[in-house]
Amino acid sequence: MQRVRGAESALIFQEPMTALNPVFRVGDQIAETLLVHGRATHRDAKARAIELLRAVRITDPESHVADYPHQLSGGMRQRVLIAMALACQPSLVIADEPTTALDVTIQAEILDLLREMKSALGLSLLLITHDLGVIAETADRVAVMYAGRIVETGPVRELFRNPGHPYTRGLLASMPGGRPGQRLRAIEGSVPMLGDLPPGCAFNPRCPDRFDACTTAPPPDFPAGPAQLAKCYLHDPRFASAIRNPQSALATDAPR
Amino acid sequence: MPLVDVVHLVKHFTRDAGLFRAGTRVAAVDDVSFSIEEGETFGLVGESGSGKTTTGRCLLRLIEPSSGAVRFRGEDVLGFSKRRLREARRDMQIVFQDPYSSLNPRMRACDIVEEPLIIHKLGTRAERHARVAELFDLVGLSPVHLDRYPRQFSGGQRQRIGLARALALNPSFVILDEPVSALDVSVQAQVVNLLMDLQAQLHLTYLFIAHDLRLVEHICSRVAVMFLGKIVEMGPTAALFAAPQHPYTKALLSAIPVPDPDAPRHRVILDPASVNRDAALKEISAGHFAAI
Repeated sequence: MQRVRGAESALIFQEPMTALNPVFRVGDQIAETLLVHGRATHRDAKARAIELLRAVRITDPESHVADYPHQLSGGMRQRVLIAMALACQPSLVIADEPTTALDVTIQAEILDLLREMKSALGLSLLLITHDLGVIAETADRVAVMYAGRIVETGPVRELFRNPGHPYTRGLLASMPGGRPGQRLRAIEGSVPMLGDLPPGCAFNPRCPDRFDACTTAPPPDFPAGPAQLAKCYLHDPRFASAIRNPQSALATDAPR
Repeated sequence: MPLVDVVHLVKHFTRDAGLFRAGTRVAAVDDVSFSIEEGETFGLVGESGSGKTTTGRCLLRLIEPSSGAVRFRGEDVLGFSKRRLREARRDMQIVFQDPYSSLNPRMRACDIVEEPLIIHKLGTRAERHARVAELFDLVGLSPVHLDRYPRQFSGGQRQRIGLARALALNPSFVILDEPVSALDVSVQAQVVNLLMDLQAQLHLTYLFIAHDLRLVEHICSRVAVMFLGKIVEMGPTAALFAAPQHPYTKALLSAIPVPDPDAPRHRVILDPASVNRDAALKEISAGHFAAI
């Protein structure tokens, strides 16, 4: 497992403030990854660390390589984490809310960097986030999760244009936008406790399009577009004639 | 007359001299002036460390400003005696950023909401309990929630408790310090709707401190952008978002991730050299000021 972790796949953590070890210099923390996987000798590990810091656009990497994490800003720490993740040229990088803790301008820089690294190194990126804007800017394909299940998957463009699952639709509709001052289209209710899921589809108590089938059994995947799958009975061919047009929810969602 | 008038507000924090370093003085809020009209939502945006939270707290004197003036209905808040300040705070309240740490975990929800009424010695026990029930209803909590503890609530519900507590004394001015940034997108919309409903219903004036510019654009009538302790741009939201003038505002607006895969992206990166730190605010168009 350790041969795969860090070498073949690497993880970028959510909190750049806590993911680095405060008592080691950042250069040593990057070098550790290289040494553990035998990608560098003690002699050239430092040079490689500096190279990596330069690759993630840290200015003056020669001096920052000897910094402790507390001497760096949040954005720079996140760059160090990205450098560590890229150290062994993994084919898969998992980024868990890599920009949630950062300011919006720094977030933009980090997303640009991730995108660049992705195309330059030809790696695959699994980006975990709650920010639909970040997804729209960065991802090729999306999977939407609700209460422990993937409720919809599809290419970014199609999923944003034509969301198949009422939850996806609700998420997109609840974003601020539209006419200023207007009420936002919130999804009513709250996410259920995982130990106490409702019968059938976990989203059914909050779903504007709920009908009889929704409470019977958790729905399997149904095709909701050319490359989209949604776990929703609205797309079950058995009910195709019986139910109203799923898009209707957007039009009928009147303010309380 | 504006409801709140902030004039040349300054807050220095001093770092005491230590064994190996001299004492330093940092201006967290550096000569900030703005005014808020009755009934409006005034947005204050900026990155972490730009001084927006400190500004908000200075208005209520939760932090004592170093110099400047804060006038509330024309009266100088900074000159208030302790007793007068307590009285004034009935009219100006704050909802804190983090609903997970701003509620006392050992108090029941009903006690948290009742506490301001007790502190201000309002009503009999029965009257207070009636008021708490009314507030719970107002913010969309049900009576079964009264006896629960904060940990039994979701983030959105906790923020509703914080809001009920702030509204208990019938304030006219509420400072909302990042009220929804700790909440999920879907819940965020619920709380934003609640804030807008309450404003219309109770004629509240809001100071909305936030870093989510999409939200600010949606609910604020005017907005001020803070950068390193100073206001660098201020104006009607629509004008400021349509034609940002200051390089920092431009960078900030271009950094907003747009939830549309086909939206054009023009990223503006802030060049620190392009910021003239000493520039004064100039009026660009009606009510739209920028320090360029």
